[in-house]
Amino acid sequence: MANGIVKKVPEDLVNSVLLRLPVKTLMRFKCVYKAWYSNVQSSTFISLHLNRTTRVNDEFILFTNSIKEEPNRFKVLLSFMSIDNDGDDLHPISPDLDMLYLTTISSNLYRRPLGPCRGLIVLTDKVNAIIFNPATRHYRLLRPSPFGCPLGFHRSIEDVGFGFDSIANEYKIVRVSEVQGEPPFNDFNMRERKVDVYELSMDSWRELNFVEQQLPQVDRYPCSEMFYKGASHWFGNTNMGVILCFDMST
Amino acid sequence: MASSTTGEKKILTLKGGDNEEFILEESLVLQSELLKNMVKEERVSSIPLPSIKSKTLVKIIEYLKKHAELTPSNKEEFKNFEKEFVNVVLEELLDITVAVNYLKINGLLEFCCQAVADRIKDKSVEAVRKIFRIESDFTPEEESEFRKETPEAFEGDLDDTTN
Repeated sequence: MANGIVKKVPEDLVNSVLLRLPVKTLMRFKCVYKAWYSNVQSSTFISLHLNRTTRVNDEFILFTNSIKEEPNRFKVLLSFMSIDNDGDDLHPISPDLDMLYLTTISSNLYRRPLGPCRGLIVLTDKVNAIIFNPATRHYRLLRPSPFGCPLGFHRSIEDVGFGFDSIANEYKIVRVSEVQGEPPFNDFNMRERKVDVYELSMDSWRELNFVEQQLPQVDRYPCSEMFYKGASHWFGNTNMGVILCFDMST
Repeated sequence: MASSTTGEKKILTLKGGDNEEFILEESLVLQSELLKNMVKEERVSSIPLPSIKSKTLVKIIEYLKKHAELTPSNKEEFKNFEKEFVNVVLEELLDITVAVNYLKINGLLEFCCQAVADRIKDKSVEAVRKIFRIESDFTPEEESEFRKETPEAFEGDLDDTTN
């Protein structure tokens, strides 16, 4: 056994085996050997691992729970459940996870989770957004958007989309907001649409320059957003039944 | 009559690591990309495979025979055979997998890799190092850092055995 060199099994074969392991095992095996550590964290390995067909026994159901802590203050807990092979009982497969950065003022999440998109989920409350990897249970608070609005105006988020730009190899979040005048300083009718895009690898937001002001409003009923074929889609709130679409490579 | 008459079965000799010889029909080894190229391009009739133990070669030839007999009607039987095929001690399964990788028998390689993955997925870090004959190149401090970062990956009944 010389200097930790893999003697028995060639490296490419080790790789083929690692690609077939569940994420939880990989989290443990990355401390076997430095080469394994850097391999399983490389973007090539991650893409290949994601593209392998999910095996049924790796699947689970994610519940978001709101637990009342004070009047008007709920904390958010995530539960990881699986269904028994024989019965239809739900049982937890790992401990609940406290989403420390998220709180809500009612028992409902402010917005339903976005995704999953290539293994990740985005959770939001009125202030914060979190990107979450259910397989590793790691999560990260996103840098808040720096784009506010002038005094006398109110900025409200109309809808959020989460997707993956396969050209730039980048997870992105898109947010459509409306800046509206607030009396007594300004008129209600002063409205402007804003669109900002968050990029995960940069952890930064940018505002799009040209936004079509005639866009219809987005419908806010559950499941009205989906990411499909490289673009986020929303139902538009008109009586014609339009669909709004945002290309994630923008 | 020309030697390549259709219908006449060509015979090939494989020589394992311990010089044991295995005589088999050439058509069987065409499942291996490596041997196929050797047979087609170099027209050899005897192939030395010094890196493969005879015991391993016996198993692989057994697979090649079964696979050649595979028809839609005995699919179920073949699946059971595959299951039994990888039901050996881990050390032997790794020998087979390494040999199959070398011989480039693609379908079997997929199956063996999955079998290895299934066998090691609940193993402890120490057991995996022994199985793959790796010495850790992390410091104990770095290792305990990993355990702190993702404690859930180290929880539960981890298997310390290497077979």
